Amino acid sequence: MIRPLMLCAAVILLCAPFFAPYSEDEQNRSRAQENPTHIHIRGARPVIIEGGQTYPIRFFTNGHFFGISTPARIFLFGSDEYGRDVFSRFLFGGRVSVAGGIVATLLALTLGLSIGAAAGLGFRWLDELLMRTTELFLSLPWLYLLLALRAILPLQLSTTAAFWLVTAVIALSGWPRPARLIRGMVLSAKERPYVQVARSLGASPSYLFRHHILPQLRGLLWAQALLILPQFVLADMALSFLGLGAGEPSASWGGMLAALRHFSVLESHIGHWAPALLMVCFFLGMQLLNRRQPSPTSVKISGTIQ
Amino acid sequence: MQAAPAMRTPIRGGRLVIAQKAEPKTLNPLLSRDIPSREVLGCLSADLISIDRQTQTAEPVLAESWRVSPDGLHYTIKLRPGLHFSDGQPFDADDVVFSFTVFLDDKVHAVQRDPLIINGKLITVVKLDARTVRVDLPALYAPAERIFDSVPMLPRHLLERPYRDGKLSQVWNLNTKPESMAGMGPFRVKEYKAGEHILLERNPYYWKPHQPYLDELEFLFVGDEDAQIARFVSGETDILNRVSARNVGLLRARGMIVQDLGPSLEYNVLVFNLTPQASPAAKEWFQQKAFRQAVSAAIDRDSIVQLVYGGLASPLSGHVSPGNRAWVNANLPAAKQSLDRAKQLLKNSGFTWNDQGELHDRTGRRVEFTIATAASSQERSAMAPLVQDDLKKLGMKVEIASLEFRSMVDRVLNTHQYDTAIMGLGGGDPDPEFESNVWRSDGGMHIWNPGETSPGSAWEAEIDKLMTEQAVERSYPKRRKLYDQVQQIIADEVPIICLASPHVLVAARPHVQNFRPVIFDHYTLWNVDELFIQQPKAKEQPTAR
Repeated sequence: MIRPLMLCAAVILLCAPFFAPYSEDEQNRSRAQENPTHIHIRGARPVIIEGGQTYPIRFFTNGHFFGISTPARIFLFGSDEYGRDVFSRFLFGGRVSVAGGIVATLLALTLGLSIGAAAGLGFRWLDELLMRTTELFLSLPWLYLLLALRAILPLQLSTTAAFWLVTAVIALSGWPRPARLIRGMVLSAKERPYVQVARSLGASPSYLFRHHILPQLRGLLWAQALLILPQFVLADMALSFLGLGAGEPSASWGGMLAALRHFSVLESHIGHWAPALLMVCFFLGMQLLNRRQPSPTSVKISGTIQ
Repeated sequence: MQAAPAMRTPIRGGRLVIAQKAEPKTLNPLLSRDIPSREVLGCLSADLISIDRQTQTAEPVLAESWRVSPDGLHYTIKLRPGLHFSDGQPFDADDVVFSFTVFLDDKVHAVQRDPLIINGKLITVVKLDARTVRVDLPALYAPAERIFDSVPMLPRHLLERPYRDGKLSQVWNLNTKPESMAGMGPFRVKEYKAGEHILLERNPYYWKPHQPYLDELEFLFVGDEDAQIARFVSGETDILNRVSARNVGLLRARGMIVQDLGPSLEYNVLVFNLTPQASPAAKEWFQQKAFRQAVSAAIDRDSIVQLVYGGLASPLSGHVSPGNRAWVNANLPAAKQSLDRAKQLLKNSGFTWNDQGELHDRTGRRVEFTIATAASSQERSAMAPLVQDDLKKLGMKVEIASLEFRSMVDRVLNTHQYDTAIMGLGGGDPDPEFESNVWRSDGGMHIWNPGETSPGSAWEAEIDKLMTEQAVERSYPKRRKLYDQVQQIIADEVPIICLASPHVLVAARPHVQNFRPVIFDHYTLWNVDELFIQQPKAKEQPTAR
């Protein structure tokens, strides 16, 4: 059950332009800080009643999953201080955070696999060098480095550039742990009898890695991916909460949470809570997905990781 | 604005509690650059002559009277008789001369020094007798009386020795014993607890008889505004010195009375980088007056007032806030949004739009630039997306860069590595001369082109000339006319686009009497010696909070 739900959530977030009724930056200044729109059912159809008029909610309209005719507006989670639809911004922000998390996870695991495998299979001096490098990366204060980096980069950082900057930093901060785990697995795997036999028959290190060692790492890589993906999404949110990453008008989950720091917002606009609650559900779903991971090696792996 | 409440018979006693966002950094008046320090020191010290915050005119404080020579260069000040510091030691002309000697000594680096320099030369202070001093100005100076405001008198008997030893900057920190400090203000330090509060007690030697009415004044270190609001609502504090517009609804919903004093003396601006270090494209666009005027015409100031300040601000046509009634040029036309006018100005300057509505200059470059804002200022950060959206309607691509405050100021004033920035100015003395460092070409805060040694354009030269004339013009109507012209030039040339001036919003619990807040700092404690509590609380020992 959890897997199709999470898949559905991921598809909705990644296809935000379709599922969101409005763009993330569309301002409606006369409709700022509105509460969530009340939806009524009339003749088995959802409608909105505004200014005495009834507006039916239409599906698959104007290139969006749902929408409504102007001048009515459908704000499922209410509107923000500029009259922008909070639900649409939640979807667009999630797209950035989740996509960033996925890309960062892929980058981190690629780096971790390359370095871990090289350390495990290579000469001792290479192993030492790579592991000391790993420790260096683990000890770096990435948040302060990112703050310093942002201060010296050109002011004109496009949304794309900001996305890649944040993703790269998260990936660079996240590869050491998988690398160490993979190195351990590789060191263990290369001592197996069938690997030694293959080596004695003249198999090259790359052949050994591709055919004998890598298959054993699949479960670990999958488990690591499920473990670090929510962490990276959270890291992306934390950075955008602090004002790093894509700037206005781009939506971000961290930026939406930042608005909740203020007492006046916490108290008066219930719609602002909805994104926070959905984010909690998202992370809970990721955790449940991780625990239900059915790979046969996961029992042994989870015992060492957790 | 609300009318001042009727005066009641003051009651002596009680403790008034007010929150501070941060702890003071020092109790040494010479070093006080941060707001919390100045807030506390304002209650511990007194000036010779002060500017009355309600009437905006000079009034005698420690001075009994003063006489100005016909040429305006010499001020003979007579001190009140029988004055004493808060430790009981007498105050006389020697203390006045000592105080000014210290302030004017460039080795001391006192914060009070700059206003005492006129036309690059220092004033001099001479003792005539035990109660009389003469202050000699190096040149005629129209707002001369105002230079005495916020210049506290220092105790020679306590500070002369550290001054001679070169250790003046090391004295009077937060850990100094209260009995080692003295001032002429209504209060003196009783106790300081790091991370908690600083507690002041009535100065028994205060020069006004029977005042201050309060026994104690407590500054609680509370942190951000949200925490201050929570403390005020719970009754732990008695005054909110400055409330943000976003919290007004919350307070009123809880039955708290928030006073709206109208526009403050602050003004928020969008400043163009007109320095030689601006990027080539931005330099070319921003140097064109029509471009700057188009950007100004496109901005919807009413939206800023409504959405950022909840209506509790005033849109600006010029840089002088409407709250500064003595100096605002009311004849400036209101700056209403007009996209048609903006587009016409751009068209006339050779800008064009492509099929996607994107604006291009005459060389075919897409018009795009950044707006820098300080992340710590929620209001200015909130303005930026509105300005961005307005300029998008002209086809301009605007990115917002949210920076740490000092980083932004450094870019604007020092490195000039920015395109435009939203900043806040003003808030100090309403007299135009005290903001001359913004308008004069060689001023340290000449934000659109700092570091100029001479005017870079005819209109800047005209502003320099007008500011010089008004600085020596003793007739207020003539001074006002000159400054009106400065405002007209700025509004026309638009090196900065004036956006909105926030209102001063304050709150006090009903038992605080004689509460007459003003828009000139300090909004709520300027008359702290007159405040009293209707139902004095029992004197209690400070407890951990």
